[in-house]
Formats: sequence, C-alpha cells, structure tokens
Amino acid sequence: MSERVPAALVDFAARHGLEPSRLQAALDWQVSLWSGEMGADERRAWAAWLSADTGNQRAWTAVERLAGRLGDLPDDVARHSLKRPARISRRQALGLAGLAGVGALVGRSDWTARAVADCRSGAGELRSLTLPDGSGLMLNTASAVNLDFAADRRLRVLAGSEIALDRRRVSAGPLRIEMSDTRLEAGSGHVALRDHGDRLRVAVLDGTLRVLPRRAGGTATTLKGGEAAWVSAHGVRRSPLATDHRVLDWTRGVLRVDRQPLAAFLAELGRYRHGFLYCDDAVSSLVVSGAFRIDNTDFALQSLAQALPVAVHYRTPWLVKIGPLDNVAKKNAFLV
Amino acid sequence: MFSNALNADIGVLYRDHSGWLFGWLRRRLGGNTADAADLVQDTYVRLIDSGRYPRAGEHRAFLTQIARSLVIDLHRRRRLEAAYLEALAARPEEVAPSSEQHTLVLDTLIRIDEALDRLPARVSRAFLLSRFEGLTYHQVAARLGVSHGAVRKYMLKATQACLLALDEPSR
Repeated sequence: MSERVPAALVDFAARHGLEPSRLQAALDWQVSLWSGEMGADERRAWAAWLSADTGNQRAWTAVERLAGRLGDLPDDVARHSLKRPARISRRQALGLAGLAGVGALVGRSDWTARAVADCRSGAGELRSLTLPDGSGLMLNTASAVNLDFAADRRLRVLAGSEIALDRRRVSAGPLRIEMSDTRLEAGSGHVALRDHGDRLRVAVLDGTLRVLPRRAGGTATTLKGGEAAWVSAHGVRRSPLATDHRVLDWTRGVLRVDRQPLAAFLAELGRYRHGFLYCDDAVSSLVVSGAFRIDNTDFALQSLAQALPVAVHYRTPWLVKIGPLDNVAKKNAFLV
Repeated sequence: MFSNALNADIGVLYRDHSGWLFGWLRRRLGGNTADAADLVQDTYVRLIDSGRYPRAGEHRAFLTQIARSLVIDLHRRRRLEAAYLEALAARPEEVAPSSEQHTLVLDTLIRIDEALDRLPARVSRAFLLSRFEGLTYHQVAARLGVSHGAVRKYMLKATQACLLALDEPSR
C-alpha cells in the first residue's frame, strides 16, 4: 500500500469528506478485488478492513460507485469504443480477437442520473415509500424516481426503472407520471410500470391509467383494471395481462419464469446484481423454468447449475459467465 | 501572464477574431461550417469560464489553443459515438438503451477515454484488458510482458485516474 497519497486524490477526498489514507486504501482493495485472483484469506482481510471503521466504509462507497459506473458500461460497447487501434500492436490485436464472441451481455448504464435522484434503489434492492399524497410506491432493482410535489404533483421515473404504484386508498386526484418520453396519469388504483429502454410495459391491476398523447391533438388511451400494454413512439399496443399477477412477483422478492431461454433469463436475473451476467452462445437457448429469490442471485445461479447442463464461471464477483458443462468448466466452476 | 477577464474585453476579442477563428476551425474540420460555428461559440464560452485573458499579441494563439482542444474533444465524441452505435447495432433489440441511457453511457465513455489517453499506453491497456476483457492480473501480465506487480501498479494508477475523471463536473 503506497504511503504518499497523490495531491489530486487528496483534493477528491476533501471534496467528498473522506480521509485521504482511507481513500487510498479503498482504491488498493478495489484493485485487489479486480485481480480475479483474490483468495479467501484476502477476502476476509478486506471484509475486516471494511467493518473496522465507518470512515473505511465511506471511502469504499466512493470507490465502489466508480466500480458500479464502470460495471454499468455495457462490456461489448466499452471494448468496442475504448479500444485504440493505433496503440495496439499486431500481436496484441491478434490475441484480442480470440476473446471476442461472448454471448448475450446485460448492462445497465444510467448511474449518474440515479445517483442524484430523490429516491433510488441499488442493484438487488427493493424499496418502498409513501408519497406525500398517500400513494404507496415500490421501486424494483436499480430504479430511481424524482418527486415534484411542490409545484404540481408529478413523479418522474428515470430510465431503466421498474415501479409499482398503489393508489387504491388515495383520495387525492390523479398523479402525473413521466417515464421515458411518455406521460401517464394514474387514477385511484394499482399499476406496475417498467421501462424497457425503447418502450414501456404498463400493467393496470386495479383502477385506471391514462396514457397521454405524445403530440398535441393526439388522443389519450385509458387502460382499466386487468389490462396491460406496450407504449412506445409508435403508440399504445394492448397485450394481455397475466391473470396470476406475475407482474408484481418482484414486489415479493421473486423472479418466476416459465420456459424462458437462458439468455433472456440471465438478462432478467442480471438486473438484480452488480456487474455482468452473461452466457456462452452454446447454452443461450437452454430453457429455464422455476421461481428464484432475487435477493440472492448467487444462490439462483447455483440452482441453475443443478437444473441445467451448465457451469457458472466467476471471473470476478462482477463478471459471471454461464458456459456449457465440460471437464474444464467443472474445474473452474469451483474456483470462487 | 493573464489578467482577469472582463466582459468588455471578451467582446473585443470576439469582434476582432471570431471571423478569423471560424475560418481556422472550418479548415480543420474539413469545411464543415456548422461544426466550425459551434466550436467558435464554445471557444469563447470556455475562455470566459477559464477566467483568464490573453496578453496583447497572444490573442489568436490563445484562442487556437482552446479551439484545438475542442476539435480533439469533438473528434473523440464522434469516434466514441460511432463505435457505441456500431456495438449497439450488433445487439438484440430488447436491450437497446433509451436516449437518456445513451447520453450517460457516452458521457462515461468520453470521460474514461480522456482519462486513459493521459496515461501511458501500457497502463491503459492493462486497465482495458482487466476491466473489459475479463482477464486476471496474471493473464494481463503475460499479455503485456510485464511483471504481476507492474500490473497492480498500472491498475492502481488507472483506477485513480478514472475515479477523478468521473468526478469532474461536466462541461
């Protein structure tokens, strides 16, 4: 561990109310964790350092935030964009080519906006709160909202979020929701909303939800209890709502799937953990069914390895790959 | 070398040199007048933000110094954006990010790219191999032909640089 802390780091520490030496130590630990070679003893030492002092925890939070933001960069995108052709020798370039071709990747990216939001949940975290008008709001993993109840009553839901809004016992008027490029108006009732990037999934379990037109002169669409729809720039497309209210499974900490391809399942499960969870093309279309706890995704991965001919490779705690089961894979699966 | 900038002085700099600067930028941007016009404005904004004012006889040199870095920034942004879009095009549609996510990813990419650019090539290579190729430090060491200890040192340096780069206020 280096003794002298660089001046720029001292300034960073001062801006964030951290002790420079603890910040330096946190960086050292982060670099160790990223090595992919950390043994059980070193892991315990890291845990001991972390629990020894709240100053250490605050320093760690700052460094982990960086890790989160880096981890949220879609891997393929980062690899593709940050690579510098001019600087890579021919030999190195040939070496890298061998590593291309990873399977489906899962990434989330909207870290900065989430960090400053009024209410947010981290990866794997569920949060619930009561809004000033009495609405019950639940945030699924890695979600964030901004509240504006001072001027007009408005809920802004940030990119990639999934929420459930319960207004069944609210007497106040409708609540305006802004999500992606869509404006919604929730009456009294119970709705579940998820931002899929280019479109929204809206489900009305009870009461009504109005999808307001994007352009002046357009007409609003009203969805009633038991109805669901996809909302995008192309309009509102109604689609059936599963009658068993599966859309609210996450509010009970459960991920339930029925005959879902592995790649799609990992995309879902990956939302509940930091970093990347992806699979080899060779196993991406294996079929997954079952119910999984979302508060322990490592356990979910273990159960997966028991149910399917796959091996789980922990390259780092943040980079997990599901590959086909073979002898090499069997050996590596127990490295961590 | 510099006195505090006054708005009136900036006004004079704008009157005397903006036309010339526009021509200078347009030549460097392959004749693109829209980009050149944008960067003229950005140059003066950055001059005002810097709170510095060039000495007599150094006006144009000072303006081109700012403009040159803006041209580099623009090329960087375009290059990363193109690479990003190319990577996105190769992915299944259901994981396409929203425009907000798009902006944030691009912002992170630009900051990391700038930070890595300021580091020695070996340091940034080590960082990219570890973080985005999933290599262990032993594998990175073998790939770069350096010791394991050197990889650790490179990683620490790059991680510090990224921490600072992501903390800078956006421009």
